[in-house]
Amino acid sequence: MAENTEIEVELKRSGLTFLVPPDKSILQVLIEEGIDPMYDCQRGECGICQVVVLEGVPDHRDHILSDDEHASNKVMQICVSRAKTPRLVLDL
Amino acid sequence: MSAPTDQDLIGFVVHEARLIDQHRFEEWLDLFAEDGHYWMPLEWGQTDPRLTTSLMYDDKVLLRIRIERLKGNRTFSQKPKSRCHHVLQTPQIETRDEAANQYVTWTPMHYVETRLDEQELYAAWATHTLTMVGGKLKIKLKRVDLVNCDAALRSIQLFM
Amino acid sequence: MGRYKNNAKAVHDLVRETEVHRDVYIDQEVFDLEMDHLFANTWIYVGHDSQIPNVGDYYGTTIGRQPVLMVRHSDGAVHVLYNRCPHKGTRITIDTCGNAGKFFRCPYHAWSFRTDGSLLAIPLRKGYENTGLDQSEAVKGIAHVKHMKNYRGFVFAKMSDSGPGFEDYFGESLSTIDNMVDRSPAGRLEIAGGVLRYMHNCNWKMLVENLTDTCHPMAAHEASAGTAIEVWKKMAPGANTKHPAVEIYAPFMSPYEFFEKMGIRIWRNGHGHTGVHHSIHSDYSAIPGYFDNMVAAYGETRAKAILDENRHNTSYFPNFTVKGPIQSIRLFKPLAPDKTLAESWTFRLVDAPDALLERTLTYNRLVNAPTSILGHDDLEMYERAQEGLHVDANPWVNIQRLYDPAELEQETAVINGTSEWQMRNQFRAWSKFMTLSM
Repeated sequence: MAENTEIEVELKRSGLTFLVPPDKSILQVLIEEGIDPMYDCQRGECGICQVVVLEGVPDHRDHILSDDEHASNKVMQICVSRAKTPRLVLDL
Repeated sequence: MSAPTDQDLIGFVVHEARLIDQHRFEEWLDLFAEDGHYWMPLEWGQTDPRLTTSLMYDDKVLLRIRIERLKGNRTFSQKPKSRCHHVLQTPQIETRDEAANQYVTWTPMHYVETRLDEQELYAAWATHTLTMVGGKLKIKLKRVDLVNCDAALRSIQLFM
Repeated sequence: MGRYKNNAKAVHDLVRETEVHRDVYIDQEVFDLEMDHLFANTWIYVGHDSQIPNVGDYYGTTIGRQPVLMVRHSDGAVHVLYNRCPHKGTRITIDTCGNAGKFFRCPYHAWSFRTDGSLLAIPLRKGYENTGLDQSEAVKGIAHVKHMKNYRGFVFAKMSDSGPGFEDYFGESLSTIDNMVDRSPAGRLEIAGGVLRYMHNCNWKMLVENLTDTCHPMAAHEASAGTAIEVWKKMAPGANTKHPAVEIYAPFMSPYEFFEKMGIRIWRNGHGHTGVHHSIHSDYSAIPGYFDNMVAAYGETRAKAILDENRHNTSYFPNFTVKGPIQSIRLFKPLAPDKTLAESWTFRLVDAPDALLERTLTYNRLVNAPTSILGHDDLEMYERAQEGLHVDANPWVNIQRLYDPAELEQETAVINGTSEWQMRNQFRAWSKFMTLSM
């Protein structure tokens, strides 16, 4: 697994941008910022926090998506997955 | 006026159940203070008999109506009559407040009511709030909390 | 293969103009057909939307034998769903009622669903890749009850595509619900006080017929209501005021003439109500402050018109009843031919004094509780009938009182309050909706 790096996350629908530090998940930051996202297991298993990726390349660390889905980079589980690019734009 | 002993309170609660089991309802009703109530809550841990529904919240008038009804010639749901049976744990003294003339006991019990071929078993806690009136213990409030207070119940025709 | 399944004629023949066959009360096959046809083709009361005020709130109940849940979706709309996980069948609600949050999560395998029932996520979903999951029943999410209507807070649903639409089905009978809602100065009701649940070993239709049976109170309730009057006479001779319980019980002992004159109104599709001109609820003492609240909200003329309506029982076919003046409803849930759960719910009229709710709850306790002496009188009669109907010598139940063949041509009417026309009306609707989809 790659080292965690800081990610800039833009939420397209709300127009907000946050910095996700290496020691926090995207989900954690969104919860702290009061975005109130849907989530459950926080282990990359249940699929509830899945969001559509509009820009950037996710670093998938979940156990729910198939290899094809991982390769397509269209969706990601924000509780565990991070980014291979410095910036992600999510459909939230 | 001397205060009741713990044994007086325990004896009172046991005697009260016996009067019901023996259908000695006149003597039983006499145990209630004039402003006394018999309360059977509908909800677990219910605190209010007024704006929350109860299974029973009878004053002496309503208790008198029930007792007279049990005797009636045209009380068809009591032909044949129901019978009942109490098994009490030893009543525990919750509070004694001699200054306020108020004594509270707590009594876990099993109660069986039977009629024709049906027999229903209920588990409940009875909380008696007692007071001395003219040298005798009287019931200010008898509260009966069924373990399954909110279940779909069959008819309960006598007194727990 | 029994006598009645796929045999609309045999089912029709159970209902004559003035008699019904006992099999409608005691036969298992007829009961099964009621669940499959009658309770699918008619609009069944599910619950009141004040039970689920917040987004994500849910309440589990049944329509006939079908477990359903009523839920408030994220957009505020109420949905009625079958209470079954589309995966393995597990009941989806965690508790009888509660809040699901943003989604239902099945307690068995953690499949998750939005509060409109649609599938949200499946854990380890990659295990379904290339299995054709998108063609499965499971992927459709939690199934909706096909038709639902939220009428002024009252949520009804119809499971089948057969049968009339909501407005057509209830028609003018909705005026009773309107009147109960209008009795709130704010025009809103809230379920309050808790539900009384009373188990009856009898057929559900006996409770329905009893609602408009005005020839039984003075006979069956002499034990309770009659005793209440006698006790009060002795305990408070010459008293001007009545004990609250006596005020509620005494009108049940009114003479036949009182019930004749109170009148019954008949509507289409088996609906009807007692208490057209007056009722046992007409002479309750005034609740201080309530009339003033109503006048402030509606003006005096309108307030009086609302409160002058004293309908006794409105029977919404098949198994729901409303008592406007006392703000209570009852639902008779059929469990078996000889088993019915009677649920009695009560409302707070928003912006009305608490004393009104207190009287509503007192009424419910004194009349509808498993500990109610009046309830004991009725249940004894139902259960005696359930037993007596097994007598082979006479398989017919008589519902002939004040019968006139001309009534067959008449959809609505206001009639003598001791008529059994409303019972006949119910059974004609029963026959119609039982066979509609056969």
